[in-house]
Amino acid sequence: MNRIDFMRRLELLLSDLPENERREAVQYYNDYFNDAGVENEEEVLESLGTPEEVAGSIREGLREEAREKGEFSEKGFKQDGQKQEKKDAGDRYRAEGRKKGMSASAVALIVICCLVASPVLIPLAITLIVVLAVLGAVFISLVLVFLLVGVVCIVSGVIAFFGSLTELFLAPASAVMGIGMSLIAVGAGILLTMLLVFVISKIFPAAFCKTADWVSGLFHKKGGKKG
Amino acid sequence: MVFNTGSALLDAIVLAVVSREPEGTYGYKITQEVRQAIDLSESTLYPVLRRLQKDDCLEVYDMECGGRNRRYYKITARGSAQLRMYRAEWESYSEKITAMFEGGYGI
Repeated sequence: MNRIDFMRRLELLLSDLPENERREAVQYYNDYFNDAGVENEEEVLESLGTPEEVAGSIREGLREEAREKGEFSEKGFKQDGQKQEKKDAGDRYRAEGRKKGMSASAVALIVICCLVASPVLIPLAITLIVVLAVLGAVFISLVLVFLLVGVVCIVSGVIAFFGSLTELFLAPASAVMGIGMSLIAVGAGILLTMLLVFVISKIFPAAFCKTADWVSGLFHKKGGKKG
Repeated sequence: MVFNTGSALLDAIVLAVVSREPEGTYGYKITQEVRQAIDLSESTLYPVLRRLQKDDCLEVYDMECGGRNRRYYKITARGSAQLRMYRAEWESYSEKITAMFEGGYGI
């Protein structure tokens, strides 16, 4: 689509607007292309979006004007004897960003795409969820197993320690070795347990928060960036 | 940008950009200048300019430029008053937010 197609389509899309509104908008965008210059035409076309989107933003602007006239009293405040409105930050501009490209045809297109892609997407999503669940389960059970090993090490180490103590006079050499080994087992057990307690109490919640942040970031960016 | 630009802030930015040119300025230039500060699509500004024009904050006139008419936007007295209000509001707002970020509540 080049500039002439774009303008022709835009004019057609605005044909039901009042004459002066249409002329105004068409002149603005004509000026815009002229001022951008032929060398930037591609770039401007790309950044403006489709004529449908541009027409949508123009319509949205007009609709809001009409709405504002009806509800001036609530949020407006006076200055210099004139009605001046302080809008709640964000509401309208954000709405503009969201609504862009959400014409009926775009919605229909998205729905059709979803339907066509669903035989692939749904199994894919299910697989992804299952894989994530399995990975999570494996990780959690690994952690639990290591925790168990740690506790068993401590308990058996303590038992072996006292067992070796009783043999100290019968077989001193092997008893001393037994005491040493049981102490090593207790130490290793304590180390392992502490490590896992740390993992469970610190890394789990942190990883969970990070993931949650990341996921919500994904959704927020979509709204914010484009607007 | 992570922060949403509200419509009041966008109005204020556009008024500020236009007010820098006593002789008025045109749509393409306004868009490029606003885009230096905030990330917005090139079609966002037309409705804003049109509304400010209808609210008597901006006036338009056509001037011959390179063999064609170009539409210029110029700030009105009412637009200047509005911009002053926005500036004062922004100053107190940004001060409070900055104070909060820096740990104190200097209100």
